[in-house]
Amino acid sequence: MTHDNSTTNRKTTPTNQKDKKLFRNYPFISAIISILIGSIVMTGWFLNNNYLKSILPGYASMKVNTALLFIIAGLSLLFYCLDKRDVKGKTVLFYCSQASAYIVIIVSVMEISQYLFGWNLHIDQIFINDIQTYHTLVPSGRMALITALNFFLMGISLAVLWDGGTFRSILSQSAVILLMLFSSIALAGFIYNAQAMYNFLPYSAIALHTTLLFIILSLGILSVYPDRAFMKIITGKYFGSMMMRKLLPYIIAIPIILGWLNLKGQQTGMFSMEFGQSLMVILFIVISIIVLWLNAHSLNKIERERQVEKKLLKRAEEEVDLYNNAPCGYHSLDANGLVLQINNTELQWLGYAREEVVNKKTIKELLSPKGNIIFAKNFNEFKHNGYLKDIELEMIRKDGTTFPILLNASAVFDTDGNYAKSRSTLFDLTEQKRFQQSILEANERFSKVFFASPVAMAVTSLTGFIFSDVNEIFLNLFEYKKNEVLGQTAKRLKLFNNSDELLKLKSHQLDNSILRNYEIQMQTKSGKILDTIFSSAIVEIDGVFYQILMIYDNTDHKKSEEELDKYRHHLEQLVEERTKELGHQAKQYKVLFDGNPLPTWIYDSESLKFLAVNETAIDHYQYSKEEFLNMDITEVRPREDVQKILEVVPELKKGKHIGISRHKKKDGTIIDVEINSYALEFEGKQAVLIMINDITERKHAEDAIRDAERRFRTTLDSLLEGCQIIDFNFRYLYCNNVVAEQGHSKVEELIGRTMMEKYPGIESTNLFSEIKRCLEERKPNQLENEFLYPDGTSELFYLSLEPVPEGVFILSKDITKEKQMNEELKNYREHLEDLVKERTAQLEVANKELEAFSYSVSHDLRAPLRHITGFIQILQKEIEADLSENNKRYFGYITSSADKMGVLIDDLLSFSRMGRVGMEKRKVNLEFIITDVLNELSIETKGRVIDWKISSLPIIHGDPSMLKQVILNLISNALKFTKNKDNAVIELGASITDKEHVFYVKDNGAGFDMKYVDKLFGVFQRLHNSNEFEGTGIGLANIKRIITRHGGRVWAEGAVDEGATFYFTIPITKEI
Amino acid sequence: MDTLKKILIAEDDEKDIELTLTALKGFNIANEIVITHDGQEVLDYLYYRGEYENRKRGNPAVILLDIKMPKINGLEVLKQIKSDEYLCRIPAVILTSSKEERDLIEGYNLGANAYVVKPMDFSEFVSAVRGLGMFWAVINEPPPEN
Repeated sequence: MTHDNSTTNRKTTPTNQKDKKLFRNYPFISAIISILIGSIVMTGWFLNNNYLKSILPGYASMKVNTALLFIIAGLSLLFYCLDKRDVKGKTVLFYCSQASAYIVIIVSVMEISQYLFGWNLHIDQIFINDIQTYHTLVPSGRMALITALNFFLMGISLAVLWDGGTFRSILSQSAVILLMLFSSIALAGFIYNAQAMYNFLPYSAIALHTTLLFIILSLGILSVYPDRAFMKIITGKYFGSMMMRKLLPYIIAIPIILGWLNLKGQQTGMFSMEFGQSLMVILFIVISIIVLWLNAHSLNKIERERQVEKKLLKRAEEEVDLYNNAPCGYHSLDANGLVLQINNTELQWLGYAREEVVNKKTIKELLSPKGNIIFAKNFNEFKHNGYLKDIELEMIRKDGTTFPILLNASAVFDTDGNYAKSRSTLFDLTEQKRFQQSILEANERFSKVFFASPVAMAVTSLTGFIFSDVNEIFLNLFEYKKNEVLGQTAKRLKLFNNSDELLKLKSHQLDNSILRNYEIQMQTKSGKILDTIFSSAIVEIDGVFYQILMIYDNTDHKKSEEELDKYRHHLEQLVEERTKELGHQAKQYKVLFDGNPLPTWIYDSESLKFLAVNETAIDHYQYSKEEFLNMDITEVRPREDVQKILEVVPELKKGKHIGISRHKKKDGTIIDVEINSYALEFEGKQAVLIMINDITERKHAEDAIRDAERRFRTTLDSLLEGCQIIDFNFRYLYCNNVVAEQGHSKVEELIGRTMMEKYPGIESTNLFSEIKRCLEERKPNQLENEFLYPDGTSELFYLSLEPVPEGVFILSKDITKEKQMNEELKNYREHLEDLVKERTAQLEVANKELEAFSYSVSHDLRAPLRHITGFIQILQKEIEADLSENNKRYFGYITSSADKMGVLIDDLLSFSRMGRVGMEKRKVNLEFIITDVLNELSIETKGRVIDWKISSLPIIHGDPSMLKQVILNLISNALKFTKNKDNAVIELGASITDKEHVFYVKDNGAGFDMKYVDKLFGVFQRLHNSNEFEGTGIGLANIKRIITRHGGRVWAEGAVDEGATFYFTIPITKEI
Repeated sequence: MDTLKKILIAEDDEKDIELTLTALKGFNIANEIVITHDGQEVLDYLYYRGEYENRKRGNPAVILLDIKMPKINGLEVLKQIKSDEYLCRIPAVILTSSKEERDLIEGYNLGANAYVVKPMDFSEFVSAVRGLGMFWAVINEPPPEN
């Protein structure tokens, strides 16, 4: 339970901070002092000034090397302090510090070895030759042995100082403490003037300032790491350390001072040694006790403060706990609505973590839109009044759901009277709202029952039956209008036939709050007497007690007894319902039991006898209630199941069970049931409550569904197309063998797995996105999809996707081969087009040649003919007189043959031209053309009797001059072959099919033999000799050519001497 | 008019020339008839080149042009004549065996003054040639020459 940091963190006292600062700075200061004094002494030596050398005259001077080592040691400490302050890691300063320390060690070791081995290394006279202290045993300028020893210890201490590791710290501090001990001995010697104590060897005295400087520097070294090793005890924060700090100075100071005073007193003869000794002991004891007492007092005071602080802390924690876990929400907001504090309860409601809300969210973000509106409405008033009371708001949780709250807030104003922040308490209204809602619903239910009830109902006052509401049935029954009843009493309306009855009713009511099925006579407005069944119950509505009347008209005896029962039952239920609302729980359960739509019973778990059954069970199993209560539960089961149920019963005695079983009705039908059992105590007996759900129908339905599914499955299994069902998670629910083959897999490998598992990477394919789309949009879709197998091959599938309730149904067909065939076909087709182009080009060439040929024919073939006829005639003319008749005839033959040759050439040329000249298609009215043609042929028809039968002809689309040629040729033909008929009949007509116009020209002329019908339309083909019917045989060939060029067909029917019919067709085009 | 203008015939076929001359002779046309046998010769005549270099000056009354001729055909000759400012007014008549429509069209397009198809029947041929000679050499007033 963390709360604000400021309340939980203990404050550091200012003294502590000062101490720390001192500790931090002391090593630095001591190093400076050491260097300074060392330098002064050095200067003294160089200037030969004894004051500077020994400071205290008469005492031993500090030697040159001593002063030098002090400077070096001071520097070592100074460098170390500077290094420690600046940066982490080993710097130049660090190495300088180390080097200085080692110099101190080396020099001191050399000095010590001089003493131990009697060497003279001449290191003491390097700078100055000290003649004053010259001694025969000790070379001049040599430092005292104790000094050298001290420097050795100091060097060690400085050398291992680095990084403050535990072992090194212990070593360093041990060395320094030893050093201090030596120095203290010397110091004590100075104080008590005991020369032996500072002059260990007669010629090797340690100077006073040397001793002091050692102590100063030692303390400096100790202060580098005040929280390590031995120093930890002194600087610690606990009582022991505190005590040590307080007592240490006294323990050092008191004996020294007392000892000194004692010594001086004795030396000056103020008192005897005995007196001095006892005085010193007494004083020592007294002063010690005083010091101890004072210390104890101050420690107690500190301890008291600590205790108080602890208590406060605990209280604070308790408060925080209370604050956080109070059953109401609490928060405080700044002037902008930003959350400053919030308790856990409210956080829990909102579903946020503290750090998500504090100083991050504003109240606006924590309120629902609706809540914000109400908040905004009240906020100004709040700023003005300083409080908000019982505001109902709606908050929004992190997950977006909302909940109602009750807000109370008070404002905090700053010294200028401006709104600074707010503190709010909140109550979760969800439960209350739900409760209110359920009451509202209950009321609504009640009013619905009231107004829709098939039974007459009324609400009256408890005394005197003053009507406050009645329903329609009531009004109908008693023939009143609503306003005639409301506010009136039963007595005034004379509802009760007999006022005694009313009294009886009242007395009943006093005994029981519920009156049920009381038979009473009542009277309508018109005075009609009704036999009614009367029930009433007392209810509380908004704190006032009313009674509800239910009146059932029993007058009409036609209504069957059963129905009556039902209504009675209904009445009871209504009364029960109201009673239930009044809080009678037991009855509530009874209603639950009696009114349960599922057959329900309770049986004794020992005797297995039925203890209670509900109406539904009675209806369903067809036993009467009495029968039931005389039976045990084995009797409602098929005989073969009895053993099984007896085995199960002990299980059912404990707790809840759900199971499937079979029951037997009274008529012997067996039903499948789902059982919910619940062990309980009923009327003091161990019993089991059983709720039965008849699932016979459901089971049948399930069987039917299973059958249908089996059929469906068999069908799908045997389909040639692949069938699969993919669920919404892309899992194969079903697939047939074809799908498995298509997927190069097996059915059992697919079903139950997802597409992604089976075909990794499928998510990025088009197929997958189509399936996804079908799953989401629920629209069928068809597509062709190339499926890439993991081995690199691919097949093309036609897929039909159909949304089904389970997901998507996919019908797949491998169309790889089909597609290949289509491709090939397409290839052929394209190739065919190439062929056609090639052929066309060839034909064009041939056509050109033909054109050139016919051109030269028209020029060159005609010329010789002309020459033949020309010269024959000239010749004939010249020799005519000498010619015999035969000769003349021969000339005639030559001429006519040549003429005929000319005609043939002309026809041939016109025929070839027909095939070459461009067509100009437009709308053609055949009737106009026929009129034209008949005009042109009028010379030929002159003098002949011809019966023209021309029916109306359509407008068609074609080249007018060519079509005219066709008509002309056909009619000429008809005229030609009917020339021997006395009554020629020529018929022209047309019919129409959905694609083409069919025209015919029919005559009753010479006709032809159908045997030769194939030759009819050939060039120069003739079926008659030219003596009989003139012509070159080019006409029909021309017709065929023209009609073919129009896209139509020609054919003919006929018989010798029975005439002929020529047909041609012209396709129907859109242009017409 | 002291000198009758000449009739220039361009025809490569000797038989046709004979038939034509026979037709014209029987009619006693007084104009001198010049026979050329190909297009080259026609143009040589008109431009006084080759063997016609020293012929008497003057354009013919009419040119009867066959289409199918060696070297330069009738239509090419026609094109040349009609594009020459001194020759373009000479009446040029195409006299050919061809009934081809495209010849007809091209002939008139190039500015032929008439187009006559040689009839197959000799008597018709004779009357056609005579008619031509009569019309162009006698009846028709030739363009002025400067």
